[in-house]
Amino acid sequence: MTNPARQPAPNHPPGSFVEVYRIGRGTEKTLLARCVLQQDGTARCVGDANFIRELTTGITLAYPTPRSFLPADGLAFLQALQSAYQSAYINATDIQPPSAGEQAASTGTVSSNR
Amino acid sequence: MARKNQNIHLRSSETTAPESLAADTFTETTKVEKMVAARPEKPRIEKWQYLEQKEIVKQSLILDDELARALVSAYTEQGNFDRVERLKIRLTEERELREGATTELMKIRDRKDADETAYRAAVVIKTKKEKKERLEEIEERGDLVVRNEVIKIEVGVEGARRHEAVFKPRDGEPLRYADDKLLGTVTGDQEPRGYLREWLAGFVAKALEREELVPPTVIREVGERIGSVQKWVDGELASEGKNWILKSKPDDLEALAALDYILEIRDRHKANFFIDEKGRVTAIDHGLTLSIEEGHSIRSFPLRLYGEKEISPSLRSLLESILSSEPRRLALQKAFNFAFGDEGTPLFGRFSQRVRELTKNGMFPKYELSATGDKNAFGLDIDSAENPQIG
Repeated sequence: MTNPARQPAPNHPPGSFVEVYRIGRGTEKTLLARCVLQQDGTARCVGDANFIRELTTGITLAYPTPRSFLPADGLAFLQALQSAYQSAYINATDIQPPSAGEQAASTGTVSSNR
Repeated sequence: MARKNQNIHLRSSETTAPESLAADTFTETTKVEKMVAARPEKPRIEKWQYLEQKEIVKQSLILDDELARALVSAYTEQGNFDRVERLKIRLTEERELREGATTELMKIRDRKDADETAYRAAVVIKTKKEKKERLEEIEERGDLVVRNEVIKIEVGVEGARRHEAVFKPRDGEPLRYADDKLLGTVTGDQEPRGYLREWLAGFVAKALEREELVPPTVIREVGERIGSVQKWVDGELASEGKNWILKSKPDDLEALAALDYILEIRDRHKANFFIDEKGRVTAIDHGLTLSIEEGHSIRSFPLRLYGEKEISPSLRSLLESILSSEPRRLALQKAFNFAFGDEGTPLFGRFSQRVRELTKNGMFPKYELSATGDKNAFGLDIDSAENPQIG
């Protein structure tokens, strides 16, 4: 039997990002935050002010062992976002490559702080 | 054991059911055989899977009915006809979710399994520094990220009426691997049971007479995939407001704390419960409850709020009635056996022990916090004087 979960280690250069969406009625989807991996290895998040405050207090994962992650944890924080926000109501994307991030930013899809 | 192995390989090329499966599991072969014959399209799943899914749906319905009868009988004896009416509304919604035609609105995410190969090698390293480095490396690679598949659907009811709902399919639940070995699920099961846990949480909430804490949840097939279907919740998540503690009805938060404790929830963070404009609390995401493996920390913000606080007399009375009412206790025990198979009895034992502990002590236990930094995430207002509700 082979292990289908085994994949080559992905390359996530600075600029890679995760977006977190709030799912609403019907097919409504609102961008809550975009967290981008920085050159110094940390992550920086922009978006809804309340949600960003949540993120900066840390997100905790239960699996495999309970641990809290902060934006300072960089890539691990982006991975944690994917695990923490996976309900039907708030959902984080996979880690996206920087080119897509730059493109999205330039088209103005990042919501400003409110 | 043969059945477990079959289920775990739902996505694999193994498709032939052992003879014992059909013999052990299904008693109404003639009836379901007819249903198979009546299927209009060429099946994408094997016949034994189809039969098994029908049986699971049927059993869940039987258990829901049994609990409903027990509750209606108790409410009627008490002369509490208002509660009977409220339960009827709930049961109607469950029936609608179970029977309505479904349409997919949105695939919210796909499933992702975990590869624990490197993790298992790292945890046995004795040097603290090296262990830390290796674990950080694994976290960054994302080997341990698991996700279950979630689909938003619409369920047609009557005429133009519709329910929006969340469908979590059984074959969309994540699995864990190490090397070339399948370890099971994140709850330690050998087959996906997260969808059954979603249903069971609603079942327990009903038995606790606080059914509004969990949205109507049923087990059904959507297309040819079995899973849980839970009514969509409109409202504000606790994480979206500024002070979830002040906005919530204390009775609801206290009841949710109790529910989280007896279900041994590992994942009740602020994005997993809603607070409506009247302060009513509704909780979602019960896939990480009642783990087969013991020793997981209970993580619940409401439970943390009520840690070492006295349980109100009304909630204590409700908790007592879970086990003291024989029809209710029996329905619960059957539901545990249905949801967890061979593990049902020990898990029901653990559940009962926790209920008894709460009712005997009359207090919530001390909240055991094991996640570094969780205190900040909980909310800075927790220990302050601006939180008069918890006294």
